[in-house]
Amino acid sequence: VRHLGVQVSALVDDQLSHDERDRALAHVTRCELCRVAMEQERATKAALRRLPPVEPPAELVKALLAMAETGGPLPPQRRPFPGATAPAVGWRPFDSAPRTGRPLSGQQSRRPDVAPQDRRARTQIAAAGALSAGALTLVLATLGAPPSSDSAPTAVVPPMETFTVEHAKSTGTLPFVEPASVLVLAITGDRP
Amino acid sequence: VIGSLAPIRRGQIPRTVLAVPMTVVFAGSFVLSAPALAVEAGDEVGAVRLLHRAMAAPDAVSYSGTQYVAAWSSLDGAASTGAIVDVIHRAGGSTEVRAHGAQSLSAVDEGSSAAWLADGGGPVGLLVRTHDVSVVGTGSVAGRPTHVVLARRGDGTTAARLWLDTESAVPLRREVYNDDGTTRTASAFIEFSVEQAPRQVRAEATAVNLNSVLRHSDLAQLRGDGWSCPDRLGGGLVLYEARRVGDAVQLSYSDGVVTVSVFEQRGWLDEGNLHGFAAREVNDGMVYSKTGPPAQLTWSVGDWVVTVVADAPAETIDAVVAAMPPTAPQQERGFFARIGKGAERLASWLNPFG
Repeated sequence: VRHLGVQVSALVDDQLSHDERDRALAHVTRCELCRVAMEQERATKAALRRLPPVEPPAELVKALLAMAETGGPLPPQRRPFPGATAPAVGWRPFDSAPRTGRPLSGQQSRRPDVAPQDRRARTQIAAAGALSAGALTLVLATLGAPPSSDSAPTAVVPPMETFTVEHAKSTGTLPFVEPASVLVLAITGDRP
Repeated sequence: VIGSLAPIRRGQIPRTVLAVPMTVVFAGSFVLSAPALAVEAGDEVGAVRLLHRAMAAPDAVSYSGTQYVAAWSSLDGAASTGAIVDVIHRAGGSTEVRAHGAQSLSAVDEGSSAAWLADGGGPVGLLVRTHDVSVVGTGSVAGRPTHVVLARRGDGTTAARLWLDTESAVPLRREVYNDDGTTRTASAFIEFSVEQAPRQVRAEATAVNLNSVLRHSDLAQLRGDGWSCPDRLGGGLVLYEARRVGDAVQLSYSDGVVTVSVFEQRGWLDEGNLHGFAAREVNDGMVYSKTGPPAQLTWSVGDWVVTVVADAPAETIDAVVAAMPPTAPQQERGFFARIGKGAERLASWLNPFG
Protein backbone atom coordinates (compact mmCIF):
# COMPACT_ATOMS: atom_id res chain seq x y z
CA VAL A 1 0.00 0.00 0.00
CA ARG A 2 1.38 3.43 -0.95
CA HIS A 3 0.44 5.96 1.73
CA LEU A 4 -0.41 9.58 0.99
CA GLY A 5 2.58 11.15 2.77
CA VAL A 6 2.94 14.82 1.87
CA GLN A 7 -0.23 14.62 -0.24
CA VAL A 8 -2.27 14.79 2.99
CA SER A 9 -1.47 18.49 3.31
CA ALA A 10 -2.33 19.15 -0.33
CA LEU A 11 -5.60 17.25 0.12
CA VAL A 12 -6.68 19.37 3.09
CA ASP A 13 -5.69 22.60 1.27
CA ASP A 14 -7.44 21.56 -1.95
CA GLN A 15 -4.24 21.66 -3.95
CA LEU A 16 -4.97 18.40 -5.80
CA SER A 17 -6.63 17.98 -9.16
CA HIS A 18 -9.93 16.16 -8.85
CA ASP A 19 -8.49 12.92 -10.18
CA GLU A 20 -5.71 13.07 -7.60
CA ARG A 21 -8.28 14.04 -4.96
CA ASP A 22 -10.48 11.06 -5.84
CA ARG A 23 -7.49 8.71 -5.68
CA ALA A 24 -6.32 10.19 -2.38
CA LEU A 25 -9.81 10.01 -0.83
CA ALA A 26 -10.40 6.54 -2.11
CA HIS A 27 -7.19 5.60 -0.33
CA VAL A 28 -8.29 7.44 2.82
CA THR A 29 -11.53 5.48 2.95
CA ARG A 30 -9.50 2.29 3.23
CA CYS A 31 -6.41 3.43 5.15
CA GLU A 32 -6.87 4.22 8.83
CA LEU A 33 -3.32 5.62 9.03
CA CYS A 34 -3.86 8.25 6.34
CA ARG A 35 -7.35 9.06 7.62
CA VAL A 36 -5.87 9.89 11.02
CA ALA A 37 -3.12 11.93 9.32
CA MET A 38 -5.77 13.89 7.38
CA GLU A 39 -7.78 14.62 10.54
CA GLN A 40 -4.61 15.70 12.35
CA GLU A 41 -3.68 18.02 9.49
CA ARG A 42 -7.14 19.60 9.62
CA ALA A 43 -7.00 19.94 13.40
CA THR A 44 -3.52 21.50 13.26
CA LYS A 45 -4.61 24.02 10.65
CA ALA A 46 -7.69 24.85 12.70
CA ALA A 47 -5.55 25.31 15.84
CA LEU A 48 -3.13 27.58 13.98
CA ARG A 49 -5.96 29.72 12.76
CA ARG A 50 -7.24 30.12 16.31
CA LEU A 51 -3.94 31.65 17.49
CA PRO A 52 -4.13 35.39 18.14
CA PRO A 53 -2.44 37.59 15.55
CA VAL A 54 1.25 38.14 16.34
CA GLU A 55 2.33 41.73 17.10
CA PRO A 56 5.86 42.24 15.76
CA PRO A 57 8.30 43.81 18.24
CA ALA A 58 8.71 47.57 17.78
CA GLU A 59 12.46 47.15 17.19
CA LEU A 60 11.83 44.78 14.29
CA VAL A 61 9.30 47.14 12.71
CA LYS A 62 11.78 50.02 13.05
CA ALA A 63 14.58 47.95 11.53
CA LEU A 64 12.35 46.87 8.64
CA LEU A 65 11.22 50.44 7.99
CA ALA A 66 14.86 51.57 8.00
CA MET A 67 15.67 48.87 5.47
CA ALA A 68 12.82 50.05 3.30
CA GLU A 69 14.24 53.58 3.09
CA THR A 70 16.12 53.96 -0.13
CA GLY A 71 18.69 56.62 0.79
CA GLY A 72 20.63 57.41 3.94
CA PRO A 73 19.06 58.85 7.10
CA LEU A 74 16.52 61.60 6.57
CA PRO A 75 17.95 65.15 6.61
CA PRO A 76 17.10 67.12 9.76
CA GLN A 77 13.87 69.02 9.51
CA ARG A 78 14.52 72.53 8.16
CA ARG A 79 13.28 75.42 10.18
CA PRO A 80 12.17 78.62 8.47
CA PHE A 81 14.58 80.71 10.54
CA PRO A 82 17.60 78.68 11.49
CA GLY A 83 18.63 79.26 15.07
CA ALA A 84 15.31 80.63 16.29
CA THR A 85 13.64 77.99 18.43
CA ALA A 86 10.82 80.20 19.68
CA PRO A 87 9.38 83.59 18.90
CA ALA A 88 11.31 86.33 20.65
CA VAL A 89 8.19 88.10 21.77
CA GLY A 90 4.93 86.53 22.80
CA TRP A 91 1.71 88.16 21.69
CA ARG A 92 -1.07 88.09 24.21
CA PRO A 93 -3.81 90.20 22.70
CA PHE A 94 -7.07 90.84 24.62
CA ASP A 95 -5.30 89.83 27.80
CA SER A 96 -5.99 91.96 30.85
CA ALA A 97 -2.79 90.84 32.52
CA PRO A 98 0.00 93.40 32.50
CA ARG A 99 2.35 92.94 29.60
CA THR A 100 5.83 92.41 30.72
CA GLY A 101 7.40 92.03 27.33
CA ARG A 102 9.15 89.04 28.76
CA PRO A 103 10.27 86.46 26.24
CA LEU A 104 8.09 83.36 26.48
CA SER A 105 10.85 80.93 25.66
CA GLY A 106 10.74 78.07 28.13
CA GLN A 107 7.70 79.40 29.95
CA GLN A 108 4.92 78.98 27.45
CA SER A 109 3.02 76.23 29.20
CA ARG A 110 3.87 77.03 32.72
CA ARG A 111 0.92 76.28 34.96
CA PRO A 112 0.08 78.46 37.90
CA ASP A 113 1.44 77.10 41.15
CA VAL A 114 -1.06 75.02 43.05
CA ALA A 115 -0.48 73.85 46.58
CA PRO A 116 -0.41 70.01 46.86
CA GLN A 117 -3.31 69.92 49.33
CA ASP A 118 -5.44 71.96 46.91
CA ARG A 119 -4.71 69.45 44.17
CA ARG A 120 -5.71 66.56 46.44
CA ALA A 121 -8.97 68.30 47.31
CA ARG A 122 -9.74 68.81 43.64
CA THR A 123 -9.07 65.16 42.90
CA GLN A 124 -11.40 64.18 45.73
CA ILE A 125 -14.14 66.45 44.46
CA ALA A 126 -13.75 65.10 40.95
CA ALA A 127 -13.88 61.51 42.22
CA ALA A 128 -16.93 62.23 44.33
CA GLY A 129 -18.57 63.89 41.33
CA ALA A 130 -17.88 60.91 39.07
CA LEU A 131 -19.12 58.52 41.73
CA SER A 132 -22.37 60.37 42.30
CA ALA A 133 -22.93 60.72 38.56
CA GLY A 134 -22.41 56.96 38.23
CA ALA A 135 -24.74 56.29 41.13
CA LEU A 136 -27.38 58.59 39.65
CA THR A 137 -27.11 56.82 36.28
CA LEU A 138 -27.50 53.49 38.02
CA VAL A 139 -30.50 54.68 40.02
CA LEU A 140 -32.16 56.13 36.93
CA ALA A 141 -31.45 53.01 34.88
CA THR A 142 -32.89 50.86 37.65
CA LEU A 143 -35.94 53.06 37.95
CA GLY A 144 -36.38 53.04 34.20
CA ALA A 145 -36.02 49.27 33.88
CA PRO A 146 -39.03 47.72 32.17
CA PRO A 147 -41.30 45.77 34.51
CA SER A 148 -40.55 42.05 34.39
CA SER A 149 -43.99 41.25 33.00
CA ASP A 150 -43.33 43.60 30.07
CA SER A 151 -43.27 42.02 26.62
CA ALA A 152 -40.17 44.02 25.69
CA PRO A 153 -37.66 42.39 23.32
CA THR A 154 -35.61 39.73 25.02
CA ALA A 155 -31.95 38.82 24.88
CA VAL A 156 -31.26 36.38 22.08
CA VAL A 157 -28.37 33.98 21.65
CA PRO A 158 -28.99 32.24 18.30
CA PRO A 159 -28.87 28.43 18.64
CA MET A 160 -26.16 28.02 16.01
CA GLU A 161 -26.01 24.24 16.00
CA THR A 162 -29.77 23.90 15.50
CA PHE A 163 -29.71 26.58 12.81
CA THR A 164 -26.85 24.84 10.98
CA VAL A 165 -28.72 21.53 11.00
CA GLU A 166 -31.91 23.26 9.81
CA HIS A 167 -29.92 24.97 7.06
CA ALA A 168 -28.63 21.59 5.92
CA LYS A 169 -32.16 20.16 5.93
CA SER A 170 -33.44 23.02 3.81
CA THR A 171 -30.94 22.19 1.06
CA GLY A 172 -32.39 18.68 0.67
CA THR A 173 -34.73 19.93 -2.05
CA LEU A 174 -31.87 21.15 -4.22
CA PRO A 175 -30.14 18.46 -6.29
CA PHE A 176 -27.26 20.61 -7.54
CA VAL A 177 -25.87 21.87 -4.26
CA GLU A 178 -23.72 19.81 -1.95
CA PRO A 179 -25.56 17.38 0.26
CA ALA A 180 -25.11 19.69 3.24
CA SER A 181 -26.72 17.10 5.48
CA VAL A 182 -23.65 14.99 4.86
CA LEU A 183 -21.44 17.86 5.95
CA VAL A 184 -23.50 18.43 9.06
CA LEU A 185 -22.83 14.82 9.87
CA ALA A 186 -19.16 15.76 9.84
CA ILE A 187 -19.71 19.01 11.74
CA THR A 188 -21.76 17.48 14.53
CA GLY A 189 -19.00 14.97 15.04
CA ASP A 190 -20.88 11.81 14.14
CA ARG A 191 -17.77 10.06 12.95
CA PRO A 192 -16.64 6.48 13.12
CA VAL B 1 -38.09 0.79 -23.57
CA ILE B 2 -38.09 1.33 -19.84
CA GLY B 3 -35.15 -0.99 -19.31
CA SER B 4 -33.96 -1.68 -15.79
CA LEU B 5 -35.48 1.48 -14.39
CA ALA B 6 -38.77 1.42 -12.56
CA PRO B 7 -41.55 3.00 -14.56
CA ILE B 8 -43.03 6.21 -13.23
CA ARG B 9 -46.66 5.80 -12.30
CA ARG B 10 -48.60 8.98 -11.65
CA GLY B 11 -50.10 7.72 -8.43
CA GLN B 12 -46.69 7.13 -6.94
CA ILE B 13 -45.02 10.35 -7.87
CA PRO B 14 -44.26 12.26 -4.69
CA ARG B 15 -45.07 15.90 -4.56
CA THR B 16 -41.46 16.83 -5.17
CA VAL B 17 -41.94 15.93 -8.77
CA LEU B 18 -45.52 17.12 -9.06
CA ALA B 19 -44.43 20.59 -8.03
CA VAL B 20 -42.35 21.09 -11.12
CA PRO B 21 -44.17 21.65 -14.39
CA MET B 22 -45.71 18.53 -15.85
CA THR B 23 -43.55 18.95 -18.94
CA VAL B 24 -40.63 18.16 -16.73
CA VAL B 25 -42.24 14.92 -15.62
CA PHE B 26 -42.87 14.00 -19.22
CA ALA B 27 -39.35 15.00 -20.16
CA GLY B 28 -38.12 12.97 -17.19
CA SER B 29 -40.03 9.86 -18.17
CA PHE B 30 -38.89 10.27 -21.73
CA VAL B 31 -35.22 10.63 -20.97
CA LEU B 32 -35.33 7.85 -18.39
CA SER B 33 -36.61 5.56 -21.08
CA ALA B 34 -33.74 6.61 -23.29
CA PRO B 35 -30.65 6.46 -21.08
CA ALA B 36 -28.23 7.34 -23.85
CA LEU B 37 -29.34 10.96 -24.17
CA ALA B 38 -27.48 12.38 -27.13
CA VAL B 39 -25.88 15.64 -26.15
CA GLU B 40 -22.86 17.34 -27.60
CA ALA B 41 -20.32 19.69 -26.13
CA GLY B 42 -21.61 23.25 -26.06
CA ASP B 43 -25.23 22.08 -26.09
CA GLU B 44 -27.29 24.37 -23.85
CA VAL B 45 -30.71 22.83 -24.41
CA GLY B 46 -29.17 19.41 -23.86
CA ALA B 47 -27.72 20.66 -20.57
CA VAL B 48 -31.15 21.76 -19.34
CA ARG B 49 -32.61 18.38 -20.34
CA LEU B 50 -29.84 16.60 -18.46
CA LEU B 51 -30.47 18.74 -15.37
CA HIS B 52 -34.20 18.00 -15.43
CA ARG B 53 -33.36 14.34 -15.72
CA ALA B 54 -30.96 14.64 -12.75
CA MET B 55 -33.70 16.37 -10.74
CA ALA B 56 -36.10 13.50 -11.40
CA ALA B 57 -33.47 10.81 -10.82
CA PRO B 58 -33.98 10.31 -7.05
CA ASP B 59 -37.54 9.33 -7.83
CA ALA B 60 -36.63 6.75 -10.44
CA VAL B 61 -33.27 5.29 -9.49
CA SER B 62 -32.08 3.22 -6.53
CA TYR B 63 -28.38 3.39 -5.84
CA SER B 64 -25.72 2.92 -3.24
CA GLY B 65 -22.15 4.01 -2.96
CA THR B 66 -19.38 5.69 -1.05
CA GLN B 67 -19.07 9.42 -1.40
CA TYR B 68 -16.76 12.08 -0.07
CA VAL B 69 -17.83 15.62 0.59
CA ALA B 70 -15.37 18.41 1.30
CA ALA B 71 -16.03 22.08 1.93
CA TRP B 72 -13.79 25.09 2.40
CA SER B 73 -14.86 28.24 4.17
CA SER B 74 -15.52 31.21 1.91
CA LEU B 75 -14.61 33.51 4.81
CA ASP B 76 -11.30 31.78 5.52
CA GLY B 77 -10.05 29.43 2.81
CA ALA B 78 -7.77 27.62 5.26
CA ALA B 79 -10.77 26.30 7.21
CA SER B 80 -12.22 23.11 5.82
CA THR B 81 -14.37 20.19 6.72
CA GLY B 82 -15.01 16.88 5.07
CA ALA B 83 -16.66 13.53 5.41
CA ILE B 84 -16.58 10.17 3.71
CA VAL B 85 -20.01 8.59 3.79
CA ASP B 86 -21.83 5.49 2.66
CA VAL B 87 -25.03 6.44 0.84
CA ILE B 88 -28.06 4.23 0.20
CA HIS B 89 -30.95 5.63 -1.81
CA ARG B 90 -34.23 3.94 -2.70
CA ALA B 91 -36.13 5.13 -5.75
CA GLY B 92 -38.98 7.38 -4.66
CA GLY B 93 -37.90 6.98 -1.05
CA SER B 94 -35.39 8.30 1.38
CA THR B 95 -31.64 8.60 1.28
CA GLU B 96 -29.68 7.16 4.16
CA VAL B 97 -26.23 8.37 4.96
CA ARG B 98 -23.72 6.77 7.29
CA ALA B 99 -20.28 8.07 8.15
CA HIS B 100 -17.96 5.58 6.48
CA GLY B 101 -17.46 2.65 8.81
CA ALA B 102 -19.90 3.96 11.44
CA GLN B 103 -22.94 2.08 12.64
CA SER B 104 -25.46 4.87 13.03
CA LEU B 105 -27.51 5.86 10.02
CA SER B 106 -29.09 9.20 9.44
CA ALA B 107 -31.78 9.92 6.96
CA VAL B 108 -31.28 12.90 4.70
CA ASP B 109 -34.28 15.18 4.66
CA GLU B 110 -35.19 15.41 0.99
CA GLY B 111 -37.35 18.43 1.61
CA SER B 112 -40.93 18.70 0.54
CA SER B 113 -42.26 20.43 -2.52
CA ALA B 114 -45.28 21.40 -0.43
CA ALA B 115 -42.99 24.07 0.94
CA TRP B 116 -41.64 25.34 -2.41
CA LEU B 117 -42.06 29.13 -2.69
CA ALA B 118 -40.02 30.14 -5.73
CA ASP B 119 -41.59 30.45 -9.19
CA GLY B 120 -41.88 27.49 -11.56
CA GLY B 121 -39.15 25.22 -12.78
CA GLY B 122 -38.04 23.95 -9.38
CA PRO B 123 -34.31 23.78 -8.65
CA VAL B 124 -33.47 23.72 -12.37
CA GLY B 125 -35.46 26.92 -12.79
CA LEU B 126 -33.44 28.53 -9.99
CA LEU B 127 -30.20 27.45 -11.60
CA VAL B 128 -30.93 28.58 -15.17
CA ARG B 129 -32.41 31.90 -14.04
CA THR B 130 -28.99 33.18 -12.98
CA HIS B 131 -26.58 30.86 -14.79
CA ASP B 132 -25.72 29.83 -18.33
CA VAL B 133 -25.58 26.06 -18.43
CA SER B 134 -23.93 23.99 -21.11
CA VAL B 135 -22.60 20.52 -21.70
CA VAL B 136 -18.81 20.75 -21.86
CA GLY B 137 -18.01 17.14 -22.61
CA THR B 138 -17.84 13.74 -21.03
CA GLY B 139 -15.93 12.38 -18.08
CA SER B 140 -15.59 9.41 -15.81
CA VAL B 141 -16.34 9.14 -12.10
CA ALA B 142 -15.93 5.95 -10.07
CA GLY B 143 -15.36 4.13 -13.36
CA ARG B 144 -18.69 5.26 -14.83
CA PRO B 145 -19.16 7.46 -17.92
CA THR B 146 -20.66 10.89 -17.22
CA HIS B 147 -21.81 14.04 -18.98
CA VAL B 148 -20.12 17.16 -17.66
CA VAL B 149 -22.40 20.19 -17.26
CA LEU B 150 -20.98 23.63 -16.55
CA ALA B 151 -22.91 26.46 -14.88
CA ARG B 152 -21.49 29.94 -15.54
CA ARG B 153 -22.44 33.14 -13.79
CA GLY B 154 -23.53 36.18 -15.78
CA ASP B 155 -19.94 37.51 -15.80
CA GLY B 156 -18.70 34.29 -17.41
CA THR B 157 -16.96 32.85 -14.34
CA THR B 158 -17.64 29.22 -13.45
CA ALA B 159 -20.06 28.67 -10.57
CA ALA B 160 -20.31 24.88 -10.64
CA ARG B 161 -19.41 21.80 -12.57
CA LEU B 162 -21.58 18.67 -12.45
CA TRP B 163 -20.71 15.16 -13.59
CA LEU B 164 -24.03 13.44 -14.30
CA ASP B 165 -24.07 9.66 -14.63
CA THR B 166 -24.84 8.82 -18.27
CA GLU B 167 -27.04 5.89 -17.26
CA SER B 168 -28.97 7.20 -14.24
CA ALA B 169 -28.43 11.01 -14.37
CA VAL B 170 -27.45 10.98 -10.69
CA PRO B 171 -24.83 13.68 -10.03
CA LEU B 172 -21.69 11.64 -9.34
CA ARG B 173 -19.36 14.56 -8.83
CA ARG B 174 -20.12 18.15 -7.96
CA GLU B 175 -17.69 21.02 -7.68
CA VAL B 176 -18.76 24.50 -6.65
CA TYR B 177 -16.47 27.50 -6.95
CA ASN B 178 -16.12 30.92 -5.36
CA ASP B 179 -16.11 34.07 -7.47
CA ASP B 180 -12.28 34.01 -7.50
CA GLY B 181 -12.23 30.45 -8.85
CA THR B 182 -11.24 28.67 -5.63
CA THR B 183 -13.18 25.52 -4.76
CA ARG B 184 -15.86 25.97 -2.12
CA THR B 185 -17.31 22.47 -2.05
CA ALA B 186 -16.43 19.26 -3.81
CA SER B 187 -18.06 15.87 -3.63
CA ALA B 188 -17.71 12.69 -5.57
CA PHE B 189 -18.64 9.07 -5.45
CA ILE B 190 -15.62 6.81 -5.08
CA GLU B 191 -17.89 3.78 -5.52
CA PHE B 192 -21.32 3.87 -7.10
CA SER B 193 -23.78 1.26 -8.29
CA VAL B 194 -27.35 1.42 -9.54
CA GLU B 195 -29.45 -1.17 -7.76
CA GLN B 196 -32.48 -3.24 -8.62
CA ALA B 197 -34.51 -2.38 -5.57
CA PRO B 198 -38.27 -2.11 -5.34
CA ARG B 199 -39.51 1.44 -5.57
CA GLN B 200 -40.35 2.96 -2.23
CA VAL B 201 -43.23 5.25 -1.53
CA ARG B 202 -41.88 7.97 0.67
CA ALA B 203 -43.86 8.68 3.77
CA GLU B 204 -45.54 12.06 3.47
CA ALA B 205 -43.93 14.82 5.43
CA THR B 206 -44.77 14.41 9.09
CA ALA B 207 -47.40 16.57 10.72
CA VAL B 208 -44.72 18.51 12.58
CA ASN B 209 -42.88 19.26 9.34
CA LEU B 210 -45.99 20.46 7.55
CA ASN B 211 -47.03 22.56 10.52
CA SER B 212 -43.71 24.35 10.48
CA VAL B 213 -43.93 25.18 6.77
CA LEU B 214 -44.71 28.81 5.95
CA ARG B 215 -46.59 29.63 2.77
CA HIS B 216 -46.94 32.92 0.90
CA SER B 217 -50.00 33.93 2.96
CA ASP B 218 -48.17 33.22 6.25
CA LEU B 219 -45.22 35.32 5.09
CA ALA B 220 -47.52 38.22 4.15
CA GLN B 221 -48.94 38.13 7.66
CA LEU B 222 -45.48 37.99 9.25
CA ARG B 223 -44.36 41.00 7.18
CA GLY B 224 -47.39 42.87 8.51
CA ASP B 225 -46.19 42.08 12.03
CA GLY B 226 -42.77 43.59 11.34
CA TRP B 227 -40.79 40.54 10.23
CA SER B 228 -38.74 41.32 7.16
CA CYS B 229 -38.90 38.00 5.18
CA PRO B 230 -37.53 39.41 1.89
CA ASP B 231 -38.54 37.58 -1.31
CA ARG B 232 -35.02 37.90 -2.66
CA LEU B 233 -31.59 38.88 -1.45
CA GLY B 234 -28.74 40.35 -3.48
CA GLY B 235 -26.79 38.23 -5.95
CA GLY B 236 -29.77 36.49 -7.57
CA LEU B 237 -30.81 34.66 -4.39
CA VAL B 238 -34.50 33.74 -4.39
CA LEU B 239 -36.61 32.61 -1.42
CA TYR B 240 -37.60 28.99 -2.07
CA GLU B 241 -38.66 27.74 1.34
CA ALA B 242 -39.68 29.13 4.74
CA ARG B 243 -40.26 27.42 8.05
CA ARG B 244 -40.73 28.07 11.71
CA VAL B 245 -37.86 26.84 13.87
CA GLY B 246 -38.73 27.42 17.53
CA ASP B 247 -39.20 31.17 18.00
CA ALA B 248 -37.35 31.86 14.75
CA VAL B 249 -38.44 32.07 11.14
CA GLN B 250 -36.10 30.30 8.73
CA LEU B 251 -35.94 31.68 5.20
CA SER B 252 -34.04 29.59 2.64
CA TYR B 253 -32.56 31.27 -0.42
CA SER B 254 -30.72 29.86 -3.40
CA ASP B 255 -29.66 30.54 -6.97
CA GLY B 256 -29.43 26.80 -7.65
CA VAL B 257 -25.79 26.61 -6.55
CA VAL B 258 -25.44 28.88 -3.52
CA THR B 259 -27.54 28.29 -0.39
CA VAL B 260 -28.24 30.83 2.31
CA SER B 261 -30.52 30.37 5.31
CA VAL B 262 -31.66 33.52 7.10
CA PHE B 263 -33.11 33.14 10.59
CA GLU B 264 -35.08 36.01 12.07
CA GLN B 265 -35.77 36.24 15.78
CA ARG B 266 -37.43 38.97 17.81
CA GLY B 267 -35.16 40.49 20.45
CA TRP B 268 -31.69 41.93 20.83
CA LEU B 269 -28.46 40.09 20.32
CA ASP B 270 -26.90 39.05 23.61
CA GLU B 271 -23.34 39.71 22.44
CA GLY B 272 -21.83 38.85 25.83
CA ASN B 273 -22.96 35.25 25.43
CA LEU B 274 -21.66 34.68 21.90
CA HIS B 275 -18.59 32.49 21.98
CA GLY B 276 -16.01 31.87 19.30
CA PHE B 277 -17.24 34.64 17.00
CA ALA B 278 -15.14 37.28 15.27
CA ALA B 279 -16.66 40.79 15.40
CA ARG B 280 -16.63 43.26 12.53
CA GLU B 281 -18.18 46.70 12.35
CA VAL B 282 -20.63 47.08 9.48
CA ASN B 283 -22.88 50.07 9.03
CA ASP B 284 -23.78 51.23 12.57
CA GLY B 285 -23.69 47.77 14.06
CA MET B 286 -21.50 44.77 14.67
CA VAL B 287 -21.59 41.55 12.67
CA TYR B 288 -20.42 38.44 14.50
CA SER B 289 -19.14 35.61 12.35
CA LYS B 290 -17.74 32.10 12.43
CA THR B 291 -15.84 30.95 9.37
CA GLY B 292 -17.40 27.49 9.20
CA PRO B 293 -17.92 25.97 6.68
CA PRO B 294 -20.81 26.68 6.51
CA ALA B 295 -20.25 30.36 7.35
CA GLN B 296 -22.33 31.55 10.31
CA LEU B 297 -23.11 35.23 10.97
CA THR B 298 -25.39 37.06 13.35
CA TRP B 299 -26.29 40.71 13.91
CA SER B 300 -28.97 43.07 15.19
CA VAL B 301 -31.44 44.88 12.95
CA GLY B 302 -33.62 47.09 15.13
CA ASP B 303 -35.69 44.88 17.42
CA TRP B 304 -34.64 41.78 15.49
CA VAL B 305 -31.73 39.39 15.47
CA VAL B 306 -30.72 38.12 12.04
CA THR B 307 -28.64 34.95 11.79
CA VAL B 308 -27.26 33.63 8.53
CA VAL B 309 -25.91 30.16 7.77
CA ALA B 310 -24.48 30.15 4.28
CA ASP B 311 -22.72 28.04 1.75
CA ALA B 312 -21.89 31.01 -0.45
CA PRO B 313 -18.99 33.08 -1.74
CA ALA B 314 -17.82 35.92 0.52
CA GLU B 315 -19.24 38.46 -1.97
CA THR B 316 -22.71 36.92 -1.69
CA ILE B 317 -22.50 36.92 2.11
CA ASP B 318 -21.59 40.65 2.01
CA ALA B 319 -24.62 41.27 -0.23
CA VAL B 320 -26.86 39.48 2.29
CA VAL B 321 -25.52 41.64 5.14
CA ALA B 322 -26.06 44.75 2.98
CA ALA B 323 -29.64 43.66 2.25
CA MET B 324 -30.43 43.59 5.99
CA PRO B 325 -28.13 46.35 7.31
CA PRO B 326 -26.97 45.98 10.91
CA THR B 327 -27.99 48.66 13.42
CA ALA B 328 -26.49 49.68 16.75
CA PRO B 329 -27.21 47.03 19.37
CA GLN B 330 -30.67 47.47 20.81
CA GLN B 331 -29.19 46.90 24.23
CA GLU B 332 -27.21 50.17 24.17
CA ARG B 333 -30.04 52.26 22.87
CA GLY B 334 -32.18 50.54 25.46
CA PHE B 335 -29.84 51.65 28.25
CA PHE B 336 -30.16 55.35 27.43
CA ALA B 337 -33.89 54.92 26.97
CA ARG B 338 -33.95 53.39 30.46
CA ILE B 339 -32.11 56.35 31.96
CA GLY B 340 -34.62 58.66 30.36
CA LYS B 341 -37.52 56.64 31.75
CA GLY B 342 -35.88 56.55 35.18
CA ALA B 343 -35.53 60.35 35.17
CA GLU B 344 -39.22 60.67 34.28
CA ARG B 345 -40.21 58.43 37.17
CA LEU B 346 -37.98 60.31 39.60
CA ALA B 347 -39.44 63.61 38.40
CA SER B 348 -42.97 62.32 38.91
CA TRP B 349 -42.12 61.40 42.53
CA LEU B 350 -40.67 64.81 43.20
CA ASN B 351 -43.57 66.63 41.59
CA PRO B 352 -46.02 67.44 44.40
CA PHE B 353 -48.83 67.83 41.90
CA GLY B 354 -48.07 64.59 40.07
